[in-house]
Amino acid sequence: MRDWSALVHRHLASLRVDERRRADISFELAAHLQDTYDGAIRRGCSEAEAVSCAMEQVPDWSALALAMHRATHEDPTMTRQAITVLLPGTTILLAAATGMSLVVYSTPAARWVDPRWQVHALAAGLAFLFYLLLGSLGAAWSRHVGGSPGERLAAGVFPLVLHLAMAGPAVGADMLYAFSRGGVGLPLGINIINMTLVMLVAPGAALLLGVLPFARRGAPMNASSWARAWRD
Amino acid sequence: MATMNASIKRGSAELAVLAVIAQQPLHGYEIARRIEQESDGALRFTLASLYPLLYRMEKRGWTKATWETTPAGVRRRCYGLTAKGVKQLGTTRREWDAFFHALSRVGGLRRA
Repeated sequence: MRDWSALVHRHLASLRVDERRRADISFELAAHLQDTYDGAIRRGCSEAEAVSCAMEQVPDWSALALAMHRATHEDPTMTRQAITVLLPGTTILLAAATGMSLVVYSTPAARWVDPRWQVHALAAGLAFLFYLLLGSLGAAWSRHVGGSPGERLAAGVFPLVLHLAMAGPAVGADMLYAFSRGGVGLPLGINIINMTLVMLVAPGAALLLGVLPFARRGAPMNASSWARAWRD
Repeated sequence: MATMNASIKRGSAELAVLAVIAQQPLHGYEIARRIEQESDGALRFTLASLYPLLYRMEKRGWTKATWETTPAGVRRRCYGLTAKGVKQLGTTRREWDAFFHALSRVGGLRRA
């Protein structure tokens, strides 16, 4: 008789449950493998074919370990959107806020008014790359926890909430001031456009570019692939 | 469609498992075997697709598992429905019935 239990125990070593539960799970899954093996032998399969039949029950042990971890640690208090959008989105928003704070506090005052355009271009480029990375991180995280393309997009562009919170009131105040004066003057108009471009359009574009590689849909499912998908 | 696919797949799998163990408590291998048998081989569970689902349903309180010894003297973890699971089965059945009813009208399908 094969030691299926040892096989299961070895492959699910990363599963974080107490020892008693782990033993129960190992025993239960090993029994399933043994039943599959016995069933194949009863159908007239050779020893090698029966083993192969049992092993086909788990095409990817690491994927099974991950699925088991999710199943045994499922938190019923968290909604799907909390897991696929808010959690990754808030994390990258905090990373964006931390990054911006670090830049603001660590950059000498003179640097902000440096006359050389190269300094500003370099800073803008680095900020763009940082946001590109954040967008990718948010979307990849969302995809990893089963987010749909829309949820990955929402998670990836989530830091824009922070930018809206910062630039929104300023742009709104500028526009109110302009309307109260009967029109937008050139300096104020430039200020509004600058604020919109720097605070919303540029970071939004960077985040969106970061999200794109992770926003691809899966292949459409038809009746036969649906039945086949059950086995995966 | 990715979300729809995932939710359809999971929802249909839940319905199949709940419906099978509503008849009598069964262990994992037997649940998979019954579903395959009753669907004429169209629907198949592997160990990898079945147990995460069983543990999730147990965690949600839809099923309760107990260790039982088979007539052959082998210990097996058998899953039975709880009152919450019975209620969930009713809800899931109604949802799927409405879904297939709508699909049959739109797609011109014949219902059994």
